[in-house]
Amino acid sequence: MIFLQPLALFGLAFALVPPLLHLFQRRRPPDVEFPSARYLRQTAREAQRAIQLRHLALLLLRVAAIVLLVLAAAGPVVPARVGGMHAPTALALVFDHSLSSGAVVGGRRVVDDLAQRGRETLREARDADALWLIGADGLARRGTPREILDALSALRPDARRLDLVAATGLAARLVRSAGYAEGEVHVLSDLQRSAFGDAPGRAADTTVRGVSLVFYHPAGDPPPNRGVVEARADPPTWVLGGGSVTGRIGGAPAPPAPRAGITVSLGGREAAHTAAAAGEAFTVRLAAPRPGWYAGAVELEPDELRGDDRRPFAVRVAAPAAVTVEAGADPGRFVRDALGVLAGAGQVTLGGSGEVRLGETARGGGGVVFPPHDPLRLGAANRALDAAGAGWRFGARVERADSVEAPAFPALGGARVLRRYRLEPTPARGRGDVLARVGGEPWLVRAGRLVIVGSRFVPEETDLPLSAGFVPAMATLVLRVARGEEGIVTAAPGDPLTLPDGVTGLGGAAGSAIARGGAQAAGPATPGVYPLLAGGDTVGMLVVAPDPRESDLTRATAAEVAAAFPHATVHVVETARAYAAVRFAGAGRSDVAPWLLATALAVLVIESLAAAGVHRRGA
Amino acid sequence: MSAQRLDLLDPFTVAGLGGIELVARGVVEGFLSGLHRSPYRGFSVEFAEHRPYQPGDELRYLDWKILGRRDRLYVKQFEEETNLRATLVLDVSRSMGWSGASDRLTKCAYAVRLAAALGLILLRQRDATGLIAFDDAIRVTLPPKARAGQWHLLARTLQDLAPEGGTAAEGALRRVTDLLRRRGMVLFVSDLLVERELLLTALRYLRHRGHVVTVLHVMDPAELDLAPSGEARFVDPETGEGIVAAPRELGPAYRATVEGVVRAWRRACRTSGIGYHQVTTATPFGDALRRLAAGSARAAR
Repeated sequence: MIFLQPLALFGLAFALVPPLLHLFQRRRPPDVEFPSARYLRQTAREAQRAIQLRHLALLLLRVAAIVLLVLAAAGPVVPARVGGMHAPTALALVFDHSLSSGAVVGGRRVVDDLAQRGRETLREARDADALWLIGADGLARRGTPREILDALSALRPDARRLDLVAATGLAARLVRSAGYAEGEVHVLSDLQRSAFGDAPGRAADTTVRGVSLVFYHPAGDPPPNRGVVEARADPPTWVLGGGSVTGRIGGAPAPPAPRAGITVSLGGREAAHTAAAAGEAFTVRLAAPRPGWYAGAVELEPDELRGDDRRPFAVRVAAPAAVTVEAGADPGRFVRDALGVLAGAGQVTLGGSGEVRLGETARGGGGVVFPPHDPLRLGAANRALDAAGAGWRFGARVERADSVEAPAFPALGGARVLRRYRLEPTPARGRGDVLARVGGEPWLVRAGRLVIVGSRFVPEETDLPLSAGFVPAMATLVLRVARGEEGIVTAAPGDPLTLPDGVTGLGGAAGSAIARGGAQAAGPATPGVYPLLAGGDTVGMLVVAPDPRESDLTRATAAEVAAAFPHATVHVVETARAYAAVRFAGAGRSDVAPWLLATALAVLVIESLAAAGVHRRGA
Repeated sequence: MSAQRLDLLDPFTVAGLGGIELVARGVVEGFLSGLHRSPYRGFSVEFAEHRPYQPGDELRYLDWKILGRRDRLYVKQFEEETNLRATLVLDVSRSMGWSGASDRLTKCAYAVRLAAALGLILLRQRDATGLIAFDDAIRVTLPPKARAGQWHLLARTLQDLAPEGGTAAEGALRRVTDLLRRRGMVLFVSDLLVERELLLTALRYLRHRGHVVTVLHVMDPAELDLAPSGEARFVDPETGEGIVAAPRELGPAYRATVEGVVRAWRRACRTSGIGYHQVTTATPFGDALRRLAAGSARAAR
C-alpha cells in the first residue's frame, strides 16, 4: 500500500488518545456510603470479566476508527483493484466520432457502441479524477465526470477526420501535465488504419512515455465500404458546350458487389448516371448550363457508411473571355498559339477591346502583365504599373532555375523558371494575392484585376510553355484569374482555412461563421459547397468534402497500434468486459480511501451502539 | 390526621406528621379501620358482642337464638383471649441508618415506626409486647408486658434508638436467644446485612424453642436498584470496606444479585418455618402491617 498524502500519517498519533484518556482519567472515584456494598462486590466479582472485555472492545473500536480515518486521509492506494475503486487518475478520453464512426455494424452504429463504452468509463470516474474529452475536432475539454458525460452525449458522427496519433499525443501531454500518479489515455475508435497516418512511430517521442494507452474498438470486422473519394469538374471552368465531372470510387474493405451506381447532380438536378467499382475512376460529360457558379454532387448507392456516399463539387460556367494582346508587346509564340487553341475551342475570343488584355505595360482596366521582352523598357513598365496603382513592380533580374509553387493555381505547379524578374511590392501597395512563388519569392501576383507575372512564357525563361499543362494554365489565367475570380477552393471539414484576400465572407449556412479573406479560421464542419463572396458578388466556391481516407475502414492491427506508440503501454481491447478490466487499472492500483471511510463509519456506529448498550444496561 | 388513611401514605410523609407515638397511633387507626375483620379479633371463647350477619361469615358463629326470636341474622363475636408474648427484635446497626434519598426514611427510622405501630396493635389486644434492640451487642431490652404504660414506654424507647454499631452480631444474637426463653412471637426487623448462616441458626433455634418467628427484611429502594451514575467507590458503613464500580454497567447484574439474595432468604426461612417479608422504606406502613397480619393469620391456622 502506498499513500498519496503520507504526511497525514502523522495523524496516527491521535490513535493514542483513547488509551491515554483511559489511563489518565483513572482518578480515584468519590466514596459513596452503601450498606449493600457486599452485594455489589459479589456482582462485580461475577461480572468483572465481561465488563473488562467490553471496555477493551470499546477502546479497540475507538482506536480502530481513528486509525481508519487517518489512513483514509492519507490517500491509500493498494496494488490491486478493490471493489471498483481506483486511485485518483488523470484520464483523457479520445472519442473518435469521425465520419467513419457512422458505419453500421450488426445493426448498430459504431459511434453508439463507442459512446456506450465512454459512458461506462465516466460513470466509474470520480470527482477526484482529472478528466478530458477530445473529440473529432481535436479540442480537449476538461470537466467533472458529469460534465464530460454531458459533452460526450452531445457528440454525433462528424465529417471531420480525427488524427489518432495527434489526438493521443495531445491526450498524453494533458495527462502527464496533470501531475497525477496514475494517468491513462482511452481511445475509443474504430481504429482505422489510415487514422494512424502513414508513418507508424511518428509519435515516438516522450509525450506518451509512462502513460497507459487503452484502445477500444468494437468487436468484429469492419463492414465493406465504398465511397466517393474524389469529385471535381474538369475543367473547373466550363465555357460554352459543357465539361466533365471526374471522380473516383474508393473505400475498403472492398464490398462484394464490384460496381455501384453513381448519380451526378448539378445545380440540384440529376445530370448523369454511371457505375464504377471501388478503386475505379469515372468521368461523365455534362452540358453546361447558363453562366454562373454551380454546386454539384456525386452520389453512390447507400452502404453501411452513408457519410462518404456523397461528395460535393463545384463548377464555374463562364462565357468565353475576350482577349487582346497589347500592340507592340511580345508575349511569345507559345502564348499566341495557346490563345489560338483556346479560341478554336470557343473558350476565348480574340481581338477587339477584350476584357482581358495581355501585354507588357499595365493599364487601369486590368489584364495580364508580362516583363518586357526588351530590358530597356523595364523602367517604362514599372512606371505604368505605378500609374495603374498595381502596388507591385519588376525588380532585379534573377537567372536561376527554380520550381513554381502555386497551391492556388495548380496548373502552374511544378513548372521550372530559368529567368525571372523579382516582383517587389511598392511601399504604398494595397492588398494583393501571391498566386505563385519561385524560390520563395512572388512570381505571379494579382492586384485587383491586374495579374503580374515575373517571367515571360517563353522557353528561354520557363519550361511552362513546353509542358502539357500550358494551355489549361493559360485558360485558367484568362478565364478566371484575370477576371478577378478566386475559383474553387477545396477543404476538408473543419480544417483551418485561409480564404483569398478579396473574399469578404462565405455564403450559405456557414457564412457568418467564417472570417474574412486573408485570415485563418476553421472551415465549415459540414460537407457542402459554400459560395465565396466579395461584397455581393460570388467570386468562387468553397467545396468542403470529407477526407477520402475516412472511406477506408480497414482496421489497424494491435501491432500497428503499438508500433505507433513504442514508448507507451498499449492495450488494444475489443469487448466491453476487456475494456472494463483495463480502465482505471493504471499500475493495477486502487484508491481504498472510500472503503476505509465506510469501515470507519461502521466502526463508529458499532462503537456508539456498544456504548449506548452499556449505558442502557446501566439505566 | 384522621381525614386520611395514614397507613396508606408515603412513610416519609407520615413520619413528618409528628412523633413516633402519634404516627403509630394514626397508622394503626387507619390500618384497623381498613380491615373488614381484625386479624387479632377472632372468634375465641369469650363472647364480646353481636353484629349483623354479612355474606361470607361462617355459619357456625350464627346466633340461632336471635334468629328464632327475631328472625334476624346475627353472628356472635368473641374477644380473643390471648396470653401471647410478642417481642420485637430490632436491628439498629449502622447499616440501618442509611437512606438512598433525602426524601426517604432511613431503614432504622422506618423500622422504628413500624415496630411502634405493631406494638400498639399487640398491646391493644392485651398481648405482652417487648423490645430488644441490637447491633453488635444488645442495646435495649424491654421485657414483654401487657400493662397500660407499656405502649408509652415502648414508644419512648424506640424514639431514643439511633443506629450505631456493626452487625457482627453473633454475641448479640446469642444473647437474644437467651432472653427469649418463654414461647411467644418474635418479630425480627433488620436489613439482614449480616452473616446469613449465623442469623438463620439463631432464628432456627428460636423456632425450635416454640417461638413463632417472623423476619421483616427492610431495604432501601436504592439497594434494590442501583441508580445509574458514574464510577464511585462504594463503602460499607459497618466494615469500611469499599469497592469501585460503575452502576451504569453493573446495574442489571446487581439487581439480579439482590433478587437472588432475597430469594435465598425467603427460601431459607420457609424451609425453617420462619415467616419472611421483604419491604422497602417506600412501602406504606399499612401495606407492611397487612403483610405481617396475613402472615400471622396463616401461621395461626
